Amino acid sequence: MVASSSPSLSVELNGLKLKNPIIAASGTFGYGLEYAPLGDLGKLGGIVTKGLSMWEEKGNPPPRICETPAGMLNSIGLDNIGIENFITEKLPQLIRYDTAFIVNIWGRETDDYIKAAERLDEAKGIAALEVNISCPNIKKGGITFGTDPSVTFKLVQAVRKRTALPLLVKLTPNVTDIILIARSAEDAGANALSLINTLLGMEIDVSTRRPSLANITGGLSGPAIRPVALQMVYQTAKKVNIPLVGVGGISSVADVIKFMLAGASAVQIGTANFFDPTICWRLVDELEEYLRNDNISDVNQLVGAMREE
Amino acid sequence: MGFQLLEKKIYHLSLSVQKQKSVAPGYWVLSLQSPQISSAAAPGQFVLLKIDKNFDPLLPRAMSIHSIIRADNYRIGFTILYKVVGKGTRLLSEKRSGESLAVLGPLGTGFKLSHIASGYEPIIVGGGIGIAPLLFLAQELMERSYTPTVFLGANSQEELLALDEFESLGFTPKVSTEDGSKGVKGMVTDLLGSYLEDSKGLQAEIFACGPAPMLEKAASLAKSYKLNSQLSLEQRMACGLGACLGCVVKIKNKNSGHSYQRVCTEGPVFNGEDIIW
Repeated sequence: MVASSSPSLSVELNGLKLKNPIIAASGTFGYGLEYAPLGDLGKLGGIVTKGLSMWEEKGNPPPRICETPAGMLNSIGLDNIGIENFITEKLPQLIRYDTAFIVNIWGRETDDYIKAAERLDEAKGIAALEVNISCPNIKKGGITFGTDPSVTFKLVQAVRKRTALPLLVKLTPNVTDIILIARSAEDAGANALSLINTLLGMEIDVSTRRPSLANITGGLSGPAIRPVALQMVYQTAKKVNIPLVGVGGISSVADVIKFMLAGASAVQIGTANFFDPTICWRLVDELEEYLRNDNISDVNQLVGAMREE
Repeated sequence: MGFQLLEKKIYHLSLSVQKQKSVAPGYWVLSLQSPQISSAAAPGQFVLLKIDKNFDPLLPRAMSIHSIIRADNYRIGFTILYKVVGKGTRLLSEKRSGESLAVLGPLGTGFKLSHIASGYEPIIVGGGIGIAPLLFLAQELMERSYTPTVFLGANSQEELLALDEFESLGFTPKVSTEDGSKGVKGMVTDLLGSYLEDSKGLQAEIFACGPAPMLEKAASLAKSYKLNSQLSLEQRMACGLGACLGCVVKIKNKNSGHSYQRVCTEGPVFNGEDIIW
């Protein structure tokens, strides 16, 4: 039997409403405009910007990326135009698209995050912030916040006090127990959690005996990390009461469904944008088609619906 | 699918292979039919080819547009000249007529030609597989009624690419090979150097693509003869759209210091003087 009306794709992440659960992940979709020639950005559930800081950041020297089996390493080093430039140059062009713009923020000190949150709170057209406490590519900041539960709590709490925008907190998998970090972020007032960021990795070119990345180490992403991400979403979903956004290697509608069954309320598409640049748009259609074919009226019915018995 | 924004037309299409031809051991020319991409393309631009649907290799491969295929004066397709260097290019070389590839393009900022004035001599310098984007450039310059001087270099006669194609356009390239099996023995930049020395005071601009040491030498020759140079660079790349910031190279800032610029967006063609080697 075919459902007579269109299935509902909209999701709500504890204060952040999305027209569908397909979000472009930070660092893989630029500031959104880079992908505008390929489709209507307004069709997507959301777009997370490249990680932004209060200053312009040059990033790491090249080579910054390296392909690995079913994945890639990157050590971009949070190269970004800075929040002021984003607000004056990018945001006015973005607001014409009817999608949720989520600004990913990072800093070296807690104060950098606070200033970023305060500044973005004043700007119009931003749906939420994603607090990056998990970038493996800068030594101070990023990952050093996200590997310690009490540091995570203090940082998220400090940001929470400075903005009314919904806060997503992006977690690193490079920890002993991601649930401790997830709970700290939840207790500090995060609206939702994005997991996972990249896994630390490296590669060596045997012919030159040199590291493949100038930074030596980098973050692994792509289909290679998908089972790791899925497991972390599944474990975390059982232990926290805020929505989860699954991210890590998602490359097909089946992957989207897996993450939702494991407990994610929405998903982010990252590295797949690089090898399949129109995937985000296609996933919106394919997810709707899946729901229709399975006679599911609301996408939220998939969340946490994995059969365990 | 192709939305127009800021006059930038980028297509993501599934294209079927029209022809795959071996032009030298390990070197191939792939012909793809696409009126859209070929009509939107400018010399020096490139496309991303997703060679295999599987995840190994994961990322698409960046390939410059070698030439435009025309029928009755309409642009109907384009060719890619490439060298087999790894798994991705090997799989690409196994594609036969009728098989399809996901293609994204045209991408990047190609050679700037609008400022070239009459009386200026365009000098084209290609080394090895770097010759690939230069045939399209020569075609375009001819259409604009310029007659470029062409220098081609390779390791050996066997690996000297596209000589016949340049000749059939009416050019007589000056040729060098490192082993001396064709043309002058030595580097193509040695040939370029003696040409510039013999024609001092020449109003010219250099357009070059090839291995980094060759390009660095071309840039320094251009500088010593007070000529502009436009060099097409290569870098590992992921998105091709300027989003991932993976493909940067070090470029001099106007005032002081340097910045990282994207080969896929600000490039692949950069001013020789701006590049920090």
